Amino acid sequence: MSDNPDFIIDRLDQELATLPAANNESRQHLIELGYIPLMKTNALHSIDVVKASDQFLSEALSSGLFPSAEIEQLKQQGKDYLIRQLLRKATDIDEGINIPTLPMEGAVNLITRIIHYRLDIFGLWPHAIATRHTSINTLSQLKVIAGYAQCSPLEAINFLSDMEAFTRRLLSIYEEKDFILTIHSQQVSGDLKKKLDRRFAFKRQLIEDFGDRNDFFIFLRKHILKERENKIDFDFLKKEARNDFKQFIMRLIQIHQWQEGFYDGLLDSNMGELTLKSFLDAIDLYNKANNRWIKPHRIITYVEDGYFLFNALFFLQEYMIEDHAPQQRKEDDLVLSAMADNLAKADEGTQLAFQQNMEQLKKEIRQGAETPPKERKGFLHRVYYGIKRLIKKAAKLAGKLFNWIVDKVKEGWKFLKKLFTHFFEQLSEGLKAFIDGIKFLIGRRAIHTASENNFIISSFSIDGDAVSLVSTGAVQLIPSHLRQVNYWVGAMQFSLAIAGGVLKIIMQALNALSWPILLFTIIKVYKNISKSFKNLQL
Amino acid sequence: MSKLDDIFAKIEKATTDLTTLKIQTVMGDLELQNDGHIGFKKGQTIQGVISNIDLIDGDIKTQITEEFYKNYPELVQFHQAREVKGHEIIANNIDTLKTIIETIKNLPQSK
Repeated sequence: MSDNPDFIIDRLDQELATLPAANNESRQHLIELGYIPLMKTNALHSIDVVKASDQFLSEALSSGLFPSAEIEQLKQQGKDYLIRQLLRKATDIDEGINIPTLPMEGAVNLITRIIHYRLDIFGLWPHAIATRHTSINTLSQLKVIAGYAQCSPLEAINFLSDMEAFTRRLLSIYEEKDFILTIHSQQVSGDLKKKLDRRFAFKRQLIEDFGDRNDFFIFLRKHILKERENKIDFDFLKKEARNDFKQFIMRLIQIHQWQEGFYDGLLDSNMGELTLKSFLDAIDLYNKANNRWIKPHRIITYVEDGYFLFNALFFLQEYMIEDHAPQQRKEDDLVLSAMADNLAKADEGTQLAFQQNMEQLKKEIRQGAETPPKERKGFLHRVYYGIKRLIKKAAKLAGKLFNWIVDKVKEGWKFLKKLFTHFFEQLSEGLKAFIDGIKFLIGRRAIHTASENNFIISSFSIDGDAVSLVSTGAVQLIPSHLRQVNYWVGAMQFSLAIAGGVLKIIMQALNALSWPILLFTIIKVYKNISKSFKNLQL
Repeated sequence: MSKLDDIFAKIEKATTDLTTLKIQTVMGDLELQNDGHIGFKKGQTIQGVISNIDLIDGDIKTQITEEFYKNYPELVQFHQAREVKGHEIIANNIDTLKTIIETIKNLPQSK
């Protein structure tokens, strides 16, 4: 890497321009929470997004769901960042918001939207998200989840803020046989059916796992997992495929797969080719990660006439439940440090391969990020942005990720894309703050507020001096201008701290850093300073 | 002067020259000027308020045009809010700026 600090600062500026933008995330969440109607998705104007963002922020600030210290800390990184992070929290189903009480009859606010959003994820909300909360509509749907989880409606909606805890709950309540699911899909290709038709291996596995434990497993062996079609009890399969609870578990698995990035189709309960392939992708990844060779028939088999049997018990226990408690920050650091350490030890060729493949990841993530959210068949084609489980899994794989990038391992590429989406986001926020801090250090910083022919411009310098130019007739812009200025003043302290931290690294380690190591180090500076600002607020 | 030298020079100036705070709020017909900056159209009377605040002895000198005072109370309030923010910018950032300077000066590679 160059030993010229000016060159490095310019290159960091250029790096920022190549990072994936986060605009689509906020747009998606605003649609998910009903601030933008679903039917507007495919013809969205920026004014719709601005109005929806303002409405969301207003509801979020008055909802009582976010501690004021947290709001103040997020404000330090600007209004867009504040909105995006609050939106992400509102739509998070890994470590989502706990709802203290159910809303009043007839209410429409952020809490009602979150409840409807969570029901919608499970296919249990047929109305618009912005519909009023009523006993007839909302409570009756909440009672479905409450019935499955054997809890109150309020507990049920809070279970849906943590998919892992919810899954554990269901696994603890229901019998093994309730997790052997029947899927019916005529849309699956002949090739995939043929590939998955391992009914005898599946039967052997059932015997090994469950023996003669109950009539259900005996029945499957005797009347379903048969070679000859006329020996198969299709009435039983039909009934099983329509079992409400089992359909619900199937949807739960689709959600897990979506959260982990294996499934990128619509959340629509349609268990077609994409969902089935996502199971195979998951098995491939975990085999690669754990040096195990679990075969697809351990989990799934094709039977006949579009019917599949799926061992959701094994799938959920093996892949979707983590043993240890969340320690996201430490785990995040562990992954970054492992990569930086491996890079520092690697020879020049390996470093180059790493850098090239990291660029490839960035390019692919950016292409995805530039695709706006789409509505299809009445469903939102969406991406999951929560990170808790992603980081937990990444920490378990920390020792392997470096080589996966260098070797561009096929099985791990989707996972790496999801993980690096998170890293690039942090890098982008860190670099934005750095560049903003540097710009303020070099010259005056101007804040503009404009409407039609009227505008106010306030410019500031680091010694506190300020000049505000107000065009005649711009008095009505004062409230919004004041809000902008206040956000900026809060953000500047953070930006200067980041600028200081990054300048220090550049000066300390000229010549000693490779470009990717510098970028990882900036992510760590950003995280550490964010943490110290958070502690200050608390 | 390199960008980094420029940054250090600015920070040093800011950290040693903080005795006065100058806040201006001025109103009139604005236009885009030849140099690319926004400025007032020529030939008009500019309305506004300028405050010079001495941060050491606490003296505050404020000059305000009569019409501005009478007709634009919102802007007078806005100006007062800018004075508060000016203090905040200094109070919030001065330690950070000093830390940047000290850290970088103590490094062996520093110029």
